[in-house]
Amino acid sequence: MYKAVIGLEVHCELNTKTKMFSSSINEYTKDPNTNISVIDLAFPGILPLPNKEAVKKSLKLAMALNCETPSIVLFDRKNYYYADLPKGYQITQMTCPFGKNGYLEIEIDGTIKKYGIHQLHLEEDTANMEHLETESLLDYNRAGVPLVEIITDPCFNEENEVITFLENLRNIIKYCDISEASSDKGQLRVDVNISMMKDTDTVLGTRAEIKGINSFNNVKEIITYEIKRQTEILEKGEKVIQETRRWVDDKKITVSMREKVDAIDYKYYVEPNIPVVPLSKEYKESIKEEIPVLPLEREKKYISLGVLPKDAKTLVRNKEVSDFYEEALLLEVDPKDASNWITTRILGYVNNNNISFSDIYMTPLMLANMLKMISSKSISTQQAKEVCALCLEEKKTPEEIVKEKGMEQISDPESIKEIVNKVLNENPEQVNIYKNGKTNIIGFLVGQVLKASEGKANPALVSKILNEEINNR
Amino acid sequence: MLEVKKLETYAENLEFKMNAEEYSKLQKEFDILFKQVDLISQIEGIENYEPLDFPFPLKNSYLREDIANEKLTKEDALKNASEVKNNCVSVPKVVE
Repeated sequence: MYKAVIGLEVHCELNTKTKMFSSSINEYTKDPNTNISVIDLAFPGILPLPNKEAVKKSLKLAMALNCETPSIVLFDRKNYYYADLPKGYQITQMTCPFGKNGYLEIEIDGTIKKYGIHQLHLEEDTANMEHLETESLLDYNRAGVPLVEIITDPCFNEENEVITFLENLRNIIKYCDISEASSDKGQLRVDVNISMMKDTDTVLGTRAEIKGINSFNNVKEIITYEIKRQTEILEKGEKVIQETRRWVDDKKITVSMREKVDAIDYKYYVEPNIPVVPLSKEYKESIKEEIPVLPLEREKKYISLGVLPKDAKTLVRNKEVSDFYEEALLLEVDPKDASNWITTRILGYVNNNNISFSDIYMTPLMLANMLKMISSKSISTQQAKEVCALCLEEKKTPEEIVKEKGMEQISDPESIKEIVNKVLNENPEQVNIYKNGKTNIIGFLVGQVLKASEGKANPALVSKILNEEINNR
Repeated sequence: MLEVKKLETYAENLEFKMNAEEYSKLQKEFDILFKQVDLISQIEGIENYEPLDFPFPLKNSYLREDIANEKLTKEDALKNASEVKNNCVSVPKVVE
């Protein structure tokens, strides 16, 4: 029986305003060769200047992933020749990466598992290539975009574990505001290393590497396919070849691209054009302080506040939703009530209308005010559902809607008492019928009070006060 | 002297091809290089020195602020390309 051993290399483009070593715009656009400078195109005499924000964001991510971080900024030069790399080398980090020996904790099936992060480094992305029948087209907009590469330990055994890890990693990247991390825009790309071994084996099997996968769905399909392919080879008594393979999506297979990938000699050396910059303890501390409370910690907090575990997961899945909830909590709402309204009504509206959560009109304060109206019995829960829907659809505050619709319930006992006595005074005959033992006439009187209050009086209170007042007569 | 077989492996790993004449020339060049390095390693106390990345100690704290201020026009960017298609630089295809 063979088990898979899987390691990942995750590439993530940073959301800085400018590129890694030039001050040209770092922005996704479909118009080719528009966001480029002479540095990105490697014109003679150019010198790279590292982007401070990219350094900061990479260190922040390294810290969020519990990595050891260095005390200097140092880049290396990786030499290789390919059309997507105008300089003939890529500026990257090997000697002194921004993160080493980190980990990411993830909850899988109710237990917390720790996955090792071997290394995290900062580099520049290459140009984008489109391969046609006989030629390849180069768009240099992507050349020089800051790119973080996260290399995990070979610590995964199955595809679901990998997908959960990737989803959690993407969430942390978003929480830390490192990247938009959109697979569609190629901002998050994954290389998968996979080999098979027997439980009794002491060394890892020969691995295949599948590069540049830009959807989590494909990652899953590729792992499933490779586990099957490699197991079949081994069961026939043959050997798996060490190679780079490519996913052919329409055929749902991987095909060989290049053998002996590890043998390529990139002639790494320290990048001589970028002098070393020291990183002070204070600077690193200030970056650490900017890391927000991360999803797993928030999830645990919400559960401790009485939120259902599945709802807590829903709340932390999107930082905007979680931030909205956190803000509502500061307004002293009931944690369970607020969670219910967000996960059902508000997210329901967002999903049905296919809009972004950040586009909704309702604010945490509006939600808190609406919940207060329910708890003070100013409006009923049924009415609140209408208020919530109208707030989201018509972009009006709950107060405005309640006023416009005349929904406000009268729950003040003195006001109700006043209406009750007015109705009793106007209906002496019915009061006499009640006094003579036909107590079911009370229903008619409740109806008269509600009518007199234009339906706003709290029915339960009306019934209680009516009984008291009629018996006092 | 460095074996040709070793040089062949290096060439393969660096992804280029050489002919017999070039190997022989390279072998001789490496021989001179090794002799020079040998001379350096004979300097007394050399083992106490760290490898050098920069020629002089440099105290630098400059990292560029993340502000956009340079851009080439598409026309300028593509001016030197020998072939342009769909506003992209066209190069021979080298992958299958």
